[in-house]
Amino acid sequence: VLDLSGVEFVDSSGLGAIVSCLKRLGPRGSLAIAGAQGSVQRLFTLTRMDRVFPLHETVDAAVDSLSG
Amino acid sequence: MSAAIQLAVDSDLSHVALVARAVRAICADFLDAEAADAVELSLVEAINNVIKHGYEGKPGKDVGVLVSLQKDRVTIEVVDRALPIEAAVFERSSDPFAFDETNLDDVPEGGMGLALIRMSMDEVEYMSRDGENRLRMTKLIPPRG
Repeated sequence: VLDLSGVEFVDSSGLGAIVSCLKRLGPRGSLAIAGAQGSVQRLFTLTRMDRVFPLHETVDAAVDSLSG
Repeated sequence: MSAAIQLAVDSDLSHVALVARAVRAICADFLDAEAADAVELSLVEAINNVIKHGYEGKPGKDVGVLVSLQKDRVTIEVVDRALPIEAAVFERSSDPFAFDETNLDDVPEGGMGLALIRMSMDEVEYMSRDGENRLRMTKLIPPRG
């Protein structure tokens, strides 16, 4: 789970780094995003990366989604 | 009212966020938060491209940013004397975000900057002449009503 609640800005380099992390986890890994707000949340939806990384309001919700 | 201001920044990736925040502040009275986000992101992407690709990551080179504020639009120009973006790359119409999310290999890790600029701004033009490159990005301001 990646907690972005304290992050105010992400550019495509940051997004690419998050994608790289997911790729390094391999086919059995998954990465959920928690707490993305404002422009950060919009970047995920604009780039359709929200289809790759489920966005959750809280860390707890993100943890639940991965353990389910 | 119209006004213009010019900033210059060294081609160092660690300076990009600072200049983008400065430009955001300059535009603050003209744009709502979402439009300011779009301008900030586009400027970061544009300068990152100049530094990473144009100047091949070398610091100590000049990147100019010209901000022009008009009643109906905010125009941002990024000016450099680096290697120009090839026309084929600039005009490329393929959408990096049309990936297959079920296939991780298909999800892009880079090559998203120009596409993000096009999605975020209303007009994007690129000019390269006499060794000087100029990326002009325009955000239109909807009339109040």
